[in-house]
Amino acid sequence: MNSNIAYKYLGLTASMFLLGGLLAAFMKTGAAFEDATSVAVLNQMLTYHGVVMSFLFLIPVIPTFFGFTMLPKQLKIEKMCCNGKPGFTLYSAGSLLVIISAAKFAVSTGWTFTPPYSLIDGGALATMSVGLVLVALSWAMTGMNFIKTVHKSEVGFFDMPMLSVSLYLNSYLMFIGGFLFSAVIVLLSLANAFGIGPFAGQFSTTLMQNSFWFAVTPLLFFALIPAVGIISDVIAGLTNRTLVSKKSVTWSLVALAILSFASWGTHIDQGKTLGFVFSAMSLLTAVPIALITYSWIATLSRGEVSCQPATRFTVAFLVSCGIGVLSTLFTNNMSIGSYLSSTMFTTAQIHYLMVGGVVTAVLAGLHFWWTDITGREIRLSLGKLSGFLYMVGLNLAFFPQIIMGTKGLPQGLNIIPVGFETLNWVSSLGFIVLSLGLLLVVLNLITSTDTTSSE
Amino acid sequence: MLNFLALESLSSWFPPEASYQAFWMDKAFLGILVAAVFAFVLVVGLAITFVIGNRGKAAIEGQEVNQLARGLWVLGAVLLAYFAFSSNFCGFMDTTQAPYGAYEIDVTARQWDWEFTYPGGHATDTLHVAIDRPVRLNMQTEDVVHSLLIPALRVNQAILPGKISRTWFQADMIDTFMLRSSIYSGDNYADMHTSLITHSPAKFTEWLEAAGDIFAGRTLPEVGEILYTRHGCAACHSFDGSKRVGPTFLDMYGNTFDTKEGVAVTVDAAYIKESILKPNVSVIDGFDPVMTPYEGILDDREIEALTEWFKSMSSFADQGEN
Repeated sequence: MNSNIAYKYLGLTASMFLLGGLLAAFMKTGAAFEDATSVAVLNQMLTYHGVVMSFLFLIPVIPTFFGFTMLPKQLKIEKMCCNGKPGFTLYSAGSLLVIISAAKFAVSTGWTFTPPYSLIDGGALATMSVGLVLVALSWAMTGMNFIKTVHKSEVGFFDMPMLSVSLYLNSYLMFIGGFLFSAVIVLLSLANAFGIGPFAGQFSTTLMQNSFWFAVTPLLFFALIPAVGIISDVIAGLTNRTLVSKKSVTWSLVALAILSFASWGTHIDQGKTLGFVFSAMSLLTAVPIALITYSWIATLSRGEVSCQPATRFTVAFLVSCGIGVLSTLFTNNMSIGSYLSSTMFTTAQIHYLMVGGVVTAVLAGLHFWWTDITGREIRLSLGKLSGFLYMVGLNLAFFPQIIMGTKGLPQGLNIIPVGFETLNWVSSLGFIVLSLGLLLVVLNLITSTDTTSSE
Repeated sequence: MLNFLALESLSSWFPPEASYQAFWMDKAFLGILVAAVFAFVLVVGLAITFVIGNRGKAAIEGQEVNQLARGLWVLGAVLLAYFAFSSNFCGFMDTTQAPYGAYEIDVTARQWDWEFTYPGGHATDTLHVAIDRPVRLNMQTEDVVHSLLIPALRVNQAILPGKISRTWFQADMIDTFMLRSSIYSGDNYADMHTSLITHSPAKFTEWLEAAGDIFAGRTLPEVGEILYTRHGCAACHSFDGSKRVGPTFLDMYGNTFDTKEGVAVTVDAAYIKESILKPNVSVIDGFDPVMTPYEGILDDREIEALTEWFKSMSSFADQGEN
């Protein structure tokens, strides 16, 4: 009943992912052939790549598709509390406005909108802001829908499968974060258009950056909570048993959801004392992460693991999300972190966490539940091949960026400085392999055969 | 041994280490890297081993958890995180406060270039420093947020509008290094780079003297105006005719004033020199004898430049010549 809206959402989020990916491809080629594309256009592409990927793809992708398909299945209910149509309308209208803004009032402020640079071009943010606020409200509506659906069902909190637990927790983040994000964007565009409000003053930079990351961190970086939910359920399914020590994983997700509101500070230069507090605070995340990985490894150790495409993507998740999480050890160190901040190291980090974490989890979930959700069968060998290409491409694309960052290459340059040609070449090759892997995934899912009709 | 080998191979990975701060940061990086690789191999290695190795094995029944193993696992993660957090903490504290007596250079960042001003008031677009001497940068931005990144020194300090951002370093290698902004600031952000040039202390003094020679390529009145700005004369003397703590410089040269003692003096080169070096001997009526003597600060040539500048903006100039 709800799956219709789920497919619409999947189509739209996938188109946004494609759009963001194409922008990345254009940027890479534009930077390679200087003068072919003007610097201003490259900077706009960089901004739209960030905005589209973060706000139109990464935040909604797991909750919308897996929420509307798997949540009713896992909670054993007929239908969701609300049909989700108003949320979808808001989301599509918002996305459309964001894209339209590129044609008429292309924004080149960077996706974090840091003032005072984002305020210079008066009124330029207006169209995109309206779009982003609509999208943020759709997150809040989706969140409310899921919270009410879970409350209505008979299943207890600790009896729910991990995906449902994680979607439930993530719904609170989407609900709270959606409103916080709207507020930040409204205040920002007021400052941009009329020069009024708290973000308009000379000292607005710190206030705006803290507000922005306070709203965005729980939504974006902790989109890894539902990703962990997917992987937990996939591991349980692949091994055909319940997760070892499931309760500790549930509690870990609760802890991560709470900590998500306390870890915004590490993105910004906070000075000595506050920097110490935030760095020390993010130490706490080590405990839930350790409990989750322990449970996964223990579950995998207890017998045969079914070998299918989802297994490849699960291993790919462990590898790439593992590198992403471990890279935070460096950025969380106060001396190394200050050197690496705003270099390609942080670019690699966000890509390892968001592509390596969220996107890989989505692919693992899609391959694992595709038959359950659609009644269609995917090709196993093609799935395994795409999983392999995806994992190789991902690491080839983003690991060179880690090295570029430690060499002191800042992010957002749009040129290839001398000495970075080889690394950039490897990264571009990885991007192509990654795209090829994703293309095979799409091909596999689209051409999956209908099992109900063939038998 | 491992430490030594890894440092060798990392030397091609990292930029050169041009300060002891960079050396300690690299050591910390290496330590965390070894720990992180160990954790990565443990987790991913175990997962892959079980995925491949458990094929055809019967499942182990039951849900009991090995409490000891789980406790050690969590303890290990916490220790890893704490190790990464605390590595080079002393090095970080060291970078937050420059030593007393550090050489101060003012940095101005703007879309899209840099300006470095030395204590003498001389400004350049590349940063020159002496090695083995702490240098403190007092950085300001004229427009949007920038960040000063010098990879070889592992320095990366954001410069926020409306405040002075500070950082310091002590270079110990003579070379030319990359210096650039690392925060996106608009269209020509990629061009916002220049060089850090390090000299031996003796060479640096030589360079500063040569580069800081304000007489080169300038007329004397131009030099006079630079000296006026540089030595803060503007605090007490205007050159538009308005009265401040001291008399204005407009129409002063060649003009005749009464001193406090009632003696009439004509402002000429000799009177100007005396008023700069021993300012409170003969003070013009209506002003207090409160000026700082500039003896030993300005030399004869500079006083001559100032005199020429005064002359250039006085309508009584010819009367001073007599």
